[in-house]
Amino acid sequence: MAKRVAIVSVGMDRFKGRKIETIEEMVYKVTKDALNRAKLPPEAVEAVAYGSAVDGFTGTNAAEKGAIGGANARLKPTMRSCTSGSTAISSPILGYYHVASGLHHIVMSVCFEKMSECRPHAQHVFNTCYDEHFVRPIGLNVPIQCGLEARRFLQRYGHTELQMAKVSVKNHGNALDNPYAQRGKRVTTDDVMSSPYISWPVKIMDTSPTTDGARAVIFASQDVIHEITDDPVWVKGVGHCGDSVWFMGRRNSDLGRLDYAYKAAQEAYEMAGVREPSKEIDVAEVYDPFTFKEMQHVEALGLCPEGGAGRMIDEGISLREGKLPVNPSGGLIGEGNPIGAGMSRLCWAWLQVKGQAGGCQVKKEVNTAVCNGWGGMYQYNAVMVIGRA
Amino acid sequence: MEKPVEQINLKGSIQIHYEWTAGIAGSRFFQELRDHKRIMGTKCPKCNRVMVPPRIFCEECFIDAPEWVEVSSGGELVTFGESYLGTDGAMLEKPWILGIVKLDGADGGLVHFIGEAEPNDLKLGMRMEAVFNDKRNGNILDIRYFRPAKSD
Amino acid sequence: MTRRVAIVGIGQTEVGYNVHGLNRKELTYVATKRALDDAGIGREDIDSAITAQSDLYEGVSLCQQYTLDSVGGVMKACDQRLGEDGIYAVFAGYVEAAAHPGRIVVVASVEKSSDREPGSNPALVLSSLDAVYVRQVCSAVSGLAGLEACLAAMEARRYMHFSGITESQMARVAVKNYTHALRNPLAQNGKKTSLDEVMNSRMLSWPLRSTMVAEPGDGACSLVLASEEVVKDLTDRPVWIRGIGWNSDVNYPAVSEIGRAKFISLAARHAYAMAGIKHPAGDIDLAEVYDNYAFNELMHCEALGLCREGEGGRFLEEGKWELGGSLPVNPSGGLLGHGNPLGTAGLIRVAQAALQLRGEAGDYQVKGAEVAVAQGCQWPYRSGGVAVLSSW
Repeated sequence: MAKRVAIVSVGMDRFKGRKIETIEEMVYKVTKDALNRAKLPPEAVEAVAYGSAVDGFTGTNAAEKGAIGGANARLKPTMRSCTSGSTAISSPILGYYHVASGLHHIVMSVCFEKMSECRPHAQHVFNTCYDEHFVRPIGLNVPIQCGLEARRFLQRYGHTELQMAKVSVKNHGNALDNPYAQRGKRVTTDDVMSSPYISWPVKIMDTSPTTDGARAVIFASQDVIHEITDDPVWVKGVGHCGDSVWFMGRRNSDLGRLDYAYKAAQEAYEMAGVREPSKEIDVAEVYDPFTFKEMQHVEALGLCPEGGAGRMIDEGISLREGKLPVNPSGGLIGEGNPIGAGMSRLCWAWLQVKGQAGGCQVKKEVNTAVCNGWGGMYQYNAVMVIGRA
Repeated sequence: MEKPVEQINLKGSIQIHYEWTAGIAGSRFFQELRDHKRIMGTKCPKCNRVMVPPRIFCEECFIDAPEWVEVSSGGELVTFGESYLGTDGAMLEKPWILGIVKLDGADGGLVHFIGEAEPNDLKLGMRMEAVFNDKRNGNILDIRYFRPAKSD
Repeated sequence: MTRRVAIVGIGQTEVGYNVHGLNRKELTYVATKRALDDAGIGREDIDSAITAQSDLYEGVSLCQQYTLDSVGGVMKACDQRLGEDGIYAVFAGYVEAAAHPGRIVVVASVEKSSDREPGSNPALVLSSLDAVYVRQVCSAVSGLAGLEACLAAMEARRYMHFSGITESQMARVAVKNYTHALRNPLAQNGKKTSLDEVMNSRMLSWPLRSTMVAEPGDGACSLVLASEEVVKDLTDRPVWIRGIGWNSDVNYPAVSEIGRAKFISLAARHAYAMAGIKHPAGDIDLAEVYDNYAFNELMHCEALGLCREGEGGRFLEEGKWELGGSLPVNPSGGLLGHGNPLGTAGLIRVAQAALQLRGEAGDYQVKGAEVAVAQGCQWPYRSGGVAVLSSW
């Protein structure tokens, strides 16, 4: 039988455009924070599941191997997950499986990314992730990758740039209360709408920044949870799905609908016994590298009907004081986007359930939360549902 | 721990050089582009999809797809995007445009430059045609760009 | 008690240079198709796909995106290991399968060494070294070409210091493995050779000679894992994964101990405890271990508890580790003989061990094999893992 697995702690540290810390130093800080929060000694953690997306950012193969000491993982089992941006959640899912399988009792997931090292810019490295024969010579880059997809999304469902701008306003503003955020600021929809396009409909203020940062999460098995806490937050459901890399020739050629995200969410909700997410989920921390992505994800995660993302933001439902707050922490847009360390979405979901989200805490009662990660050639989505009981 | 420290950085780069195999499917595809100015796909014997880019297998049915079929070099503009961001992160005055064109006769297509058009000229679903280079080398740039199809 | 997991399908391509002109994605498809056919299942039966690759080896960032289709993973659950040997895909597949009843997980790894310009391996090694403390020193070495051998030789020297192993004993590993590989139809480097020939081959960096270094190659390998509820429906020859363990030491050469593979000892300890093995040297019928350098076979066998420190040299001289001996090591030829698709070779060790336990190893079958150990690691990191397999 699979073991029930709880999250007993998270490790947080400031996200910044360029941090002076090495990867190992970043990992150390969040590991220490997580251990302190859980009041666990370092030797209690039996294994570490690392997550990081792009070795090319630092030009170091298997970058986590330089951070073994920092996670107190010396001579412990370590493994690393990578599913592009959805590493944010696939790495904790890996950590979850270490415990659910019965192999280990207490396991830590630690995610990091150091995007500030490559010259001239991280964009340069993104360009190396495209297929060398069919795509790279064309020079596809991240802005155009968004443009290709966002255009379909807006056309398919009739969402508007203004609605995207409202998401930007929400997330930048929410991040003002987030002590770990890189970019919290008060902006208006006018500010967003007048910011330069990187590729229609995506403007500079619709994007998340490149960031250095790390996060940690500690999992514990039902067998030992009573020794650690009397208020466990359980991993109730996990789901993961990847679509074909040949995005120009999939069964569903409409990039506007994230079939793979719907499927991942379905898997996670089924496992969690959630039938009506828009009613049963109290708060959501979704993957928002761009504003339109938050909109795609709230639909795929069933937090609103398909095509309802525009209405959700127009009616204030996803505001921190709204009926179903989305990214009350500020999301990637406000907090920063160190690709793998997007696990911050899970960390904030946990903090919300525990009532420890400080200035970002939503007022309503929170028992169940959902978070997700996205990545690849319009490919991956990983979803985790957490909650009490 | 938070004492101010002089930040020391080290410059460097890794030089690893590659010669990537296009593979069985890619080799034939690029040969056809170079030698015959035509776009070919592979057909799955089970679901009958004609795949572009071609694969030696259908990832849905997961069987070999050995049959080659010529597809049109024109088709429908699925979507497009322009970039005001250059490769070194600097902003551009005039954007360059890429698009996905679903080729007639194929369940798939190519992502490629869009030429002879401004973003405002383009509509999703419009007909596009490939413009080939006179000198071709057996790679994806043998197609120069796709442009809105000239009506005949 | 964890749910039991078995290998129910095995698929490999041969290891060679530019195998049939297939690219990475195609090679992976060929291996996976073989594994699915072997398991008697179709893509529709797969629940999840896990692959293992390395961006810098392949020259594509986020390279794992490109093999998803090839492992039947479209619209399935999936995870990828990056910068880890394929044996880690087995561990990740195991923990996932053990957490779900009746789960079918495809694990795969591929490597196309021929996509890289010859002589690019030193640059790869360089990319694995700490950028600030180590790499600058190493890249100042004139002619990177000698770097890899130099680093390996540093460890070999220390190993010889601890164990008393001699040059000629290391050479015997090479002779044995090249000879074994002659009988392995998938192997790249099978050849008739002699102790003299190996001992007189070109010295790269003492004590490492050219014949003691596994040549990189192209190859893909795929396994189908299943959790116990569905195993008997799929096959009557399951290879049970009785124990797994993996472990990492830090990457600073002056900090972590070199010359002994403690991380492998700890990984083995965990795997043996899971498998209920108390006397590895006695309980195990064959071993497939990571011999990217000849001395590593000896060092890893010690770490696996198959002999005491230094004893392996004598066992080689006595023929104990040869096919036909009492504990064949690398009957497939290992990395030296079978070939070294970097990052895939460890998964291939698991596949080869599994073949043996099914009685399907043809001319290099170890008679009556019931329990095997497979070991992989990710050189030059001090990380690796162990799987204990049995036919019951």
